[in-house]
Amino acid sequence: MALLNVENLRTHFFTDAGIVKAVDGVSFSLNKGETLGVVGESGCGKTMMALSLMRLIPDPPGKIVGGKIWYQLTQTGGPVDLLMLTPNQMRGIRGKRLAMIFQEPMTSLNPVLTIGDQIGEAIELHTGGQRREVRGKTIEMLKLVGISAPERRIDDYPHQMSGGMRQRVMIAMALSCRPDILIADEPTTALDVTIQAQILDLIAELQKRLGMSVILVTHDFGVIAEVTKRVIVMYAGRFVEEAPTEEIFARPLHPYTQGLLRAIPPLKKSAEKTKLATIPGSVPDLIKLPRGCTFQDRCPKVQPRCRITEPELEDKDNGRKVRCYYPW
Amino acid sequence: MIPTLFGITLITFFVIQLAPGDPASLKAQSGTDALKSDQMVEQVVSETRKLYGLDRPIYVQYGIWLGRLAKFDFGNSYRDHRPVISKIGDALPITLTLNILTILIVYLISIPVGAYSALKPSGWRDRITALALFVLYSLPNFWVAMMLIVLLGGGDYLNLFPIVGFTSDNASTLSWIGWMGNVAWHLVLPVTCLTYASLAFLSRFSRASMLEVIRQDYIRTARAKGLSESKVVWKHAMRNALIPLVTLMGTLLPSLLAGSVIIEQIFAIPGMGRLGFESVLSRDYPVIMAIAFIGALLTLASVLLSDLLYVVIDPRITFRRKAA
Amino acid sequence: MRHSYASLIWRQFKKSRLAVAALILVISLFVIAIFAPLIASDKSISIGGFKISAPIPFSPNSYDLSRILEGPSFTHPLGTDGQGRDVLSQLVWGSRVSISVGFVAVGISVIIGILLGVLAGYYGGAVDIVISRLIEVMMCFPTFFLILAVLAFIGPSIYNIMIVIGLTSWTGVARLVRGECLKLRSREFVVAARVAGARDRRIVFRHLLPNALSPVLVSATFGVASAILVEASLSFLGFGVPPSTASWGSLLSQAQDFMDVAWWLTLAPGFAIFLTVTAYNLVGEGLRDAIDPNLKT
Repeated sequence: MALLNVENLRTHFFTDAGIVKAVDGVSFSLNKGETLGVVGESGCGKTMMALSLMRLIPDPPGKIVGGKIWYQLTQTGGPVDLLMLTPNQMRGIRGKRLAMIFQEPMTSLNPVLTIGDQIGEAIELHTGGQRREVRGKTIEMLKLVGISAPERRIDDYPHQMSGGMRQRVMIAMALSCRPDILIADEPTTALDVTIQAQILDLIAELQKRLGMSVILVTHDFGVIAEVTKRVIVMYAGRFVEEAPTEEIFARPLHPYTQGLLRAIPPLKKSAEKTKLATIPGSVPDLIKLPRGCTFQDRCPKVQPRCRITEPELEDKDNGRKVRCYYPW
Repeated sequence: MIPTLFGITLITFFVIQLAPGDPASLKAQSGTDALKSDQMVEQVVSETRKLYGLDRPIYVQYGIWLGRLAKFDFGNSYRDHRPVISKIGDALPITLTLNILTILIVYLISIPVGAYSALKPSGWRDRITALALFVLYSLPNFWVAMMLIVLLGGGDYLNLFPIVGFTSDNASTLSWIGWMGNVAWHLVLPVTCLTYASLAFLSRFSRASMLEVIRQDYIRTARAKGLSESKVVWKHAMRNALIPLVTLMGTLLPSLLAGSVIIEQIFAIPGMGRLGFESVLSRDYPVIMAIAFIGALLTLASVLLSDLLYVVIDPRITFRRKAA
Repeated sequence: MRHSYASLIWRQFKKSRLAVAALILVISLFVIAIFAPLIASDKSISIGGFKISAPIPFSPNSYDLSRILEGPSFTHPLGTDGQGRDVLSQLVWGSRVSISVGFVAVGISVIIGILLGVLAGYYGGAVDIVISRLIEVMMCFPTFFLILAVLAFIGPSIYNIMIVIGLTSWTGVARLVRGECLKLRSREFVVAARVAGARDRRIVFRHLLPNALSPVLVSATFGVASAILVEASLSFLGFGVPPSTASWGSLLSQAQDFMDVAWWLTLAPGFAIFLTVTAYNLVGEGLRDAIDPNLKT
């Protein structure tokens, strides 16, 4: 049974220059215990999609204008559309059932509050308890995410910690109430490579331990390969391909995915010193999208049909989906 | 800080040298005893000269003056021969009361006003408030004082507030609470005149600061935890937004002291401002010097105070780092 | 390059109708101040046989004791004061005092400020320390009181007022310029110029100053507003221009004497000050937003 079922989610930003269709018809489902990756270039809308799931889109200028987010709120009842909840109800869910960690641990933590305070806040809000209880639970969380000497560090301020540690604090904060779903928006992009590996391992381990589902948003295919079981490729506010992780590396169907994978610098010291392959052109203006397929101006296999109507997301065998008239 | 202090003493000393005439002969002349023989005047002049060291080279004079300054000995007033320090001692508490009240009210009002307009930016409420504040900021305070007197102080319209003095004549007969009430009643108009301009400025500043804070990532994190909006604003945003406001306090006081001169004069409040003005009118140099010096001292103190507060509020700043 | 920078700022400035309106007001006041003798005078000019009299046919000093304290009327649109002088005429001439004090005082303070700021920011080191201390000390003093005291010593006259205000308000500009110079000193183009062997003065004038100029312009605009207020306050207290010259502040102070019988006399000069100060402040705001739209919101 799917834990989360998103149908045709659309989030638009209303600016002076026009309407930016940041998320334009996204549909997917997430099962319990699954790790789903969402990959794409910067500006493709993946962060906005993640924020839409949490209903954290800044309004103005943004607004979720359509779609449904079905969430399995209770074990027995039917799914609930998150977009229909009142702000208060949504607040009850945020942090408790759905949690999110962000890209920049440096700026995502409040500099004037201790980390213990910031973690304890979430605990107290959603599960209540006396100060001592909350403090105890906070220390446990810190231990869980691998911060040494948690009894001392609980009273530290964010600026007294390194980037990696701060991200661990963020994770502790997000997981303190044992949420069903963790949305991780580029959690390792701002960290050193060695720390990246540690954080990814931590997320994977915690996922197994706590039995939660993870949506991992990133632009790095390496991260995708490391942690996710299923991956979705996003472009210009839409999904263009969906597949199990192994398959997408072995056989990418959409030209965009192929381009992305080709652009990864090869490790092999092969004889040919080839230039780094790139995808020509740049991401289209989200205000003035072209008629037809959004990838047309950069696609090596573009045909006249691509310029007239936009392809739908089609199911292929093996649970794969692709939005292209001429996939591989 | 110490070199600044020295600089203050230097400049005060320098300014006083600009005063025309020889302080000694001026002192001799300003005495109220009209019947002085020439011989007596001579004697007074030479004694005063010795007292002030005016017959010594200028840097020695400066040294002597510094020494007396350290003991807060500003000499005696030319007008009434009372020790300057006691005149200031009478006037200072009144001005301090006025200004501390002003600062309190200014902060108490401008922080919520600024925060509130930041939370709904560009709404019509925000724009009207911004315009109103801007208008307030540009009103000359002595004009506002006059208008208030006309409208509320016994002119052709209402007569709600007294316009003269710190207390009414029968104040000494009142109980302690009654006395406080009486003072408060007298202070309504002058404090209003002193607050409105700073209020306008600080509100806009507070709004800008709050806007800056609300955009930050950690506010988004706080919301992602499911915290209520009021908690996000008051616990997470406000503390950060306050930080630059605190540092402003150091510059608020000097402008208040400046405004005091005019307001105290108009409302006949016997504070430092009025003392200063009267001393300037009557060329009472010791008092002028003393007030300039004490004014500078107070400003220095308030800058230090706001620095200290800054250290307290922002855990990123330790005292050593701030001093460095 | 510099030419287009200025026009860039102008284009951004134009976007705010309020700022443009304020600028028009400022310019009009300037014009009124310059042409005051032609606008408000009881003398008339004869050109080729025709006698043209001023639109406001009263001199600020022409008094008529038979018509004191009149309210607004057709001949005296703003009434007359305690000596029968036309208020409107006085207002017009008063603008000369305010505007000239404003500009000259700010001119002085800007020159001092730029000088000290550049010395401190560009040369750094001991020079910077000394100048910074000086700036700190100056900022500690109660400015208005200091101005009063100095004027008491050297006597109030319009020139002394300009000089004293100028001498006490340079600290803001100095800090600004110093900051800009410090920031720009280590930037590549300055290092490049130095390497090429350019003399200090050339570096300063051609490279550093133009960048620092825009915030200085903003500060100067606010400075004019402030100087006008200070002059008005001084005149109000009796420390301003001699009573024979009309000044908005002294008009207010005279009005104070007649508050119980003709309180409306306080309206005109007070409003004039308010309007002028507001206009300059608005222009300053407009400039600031035009230069750095990020600061807006």
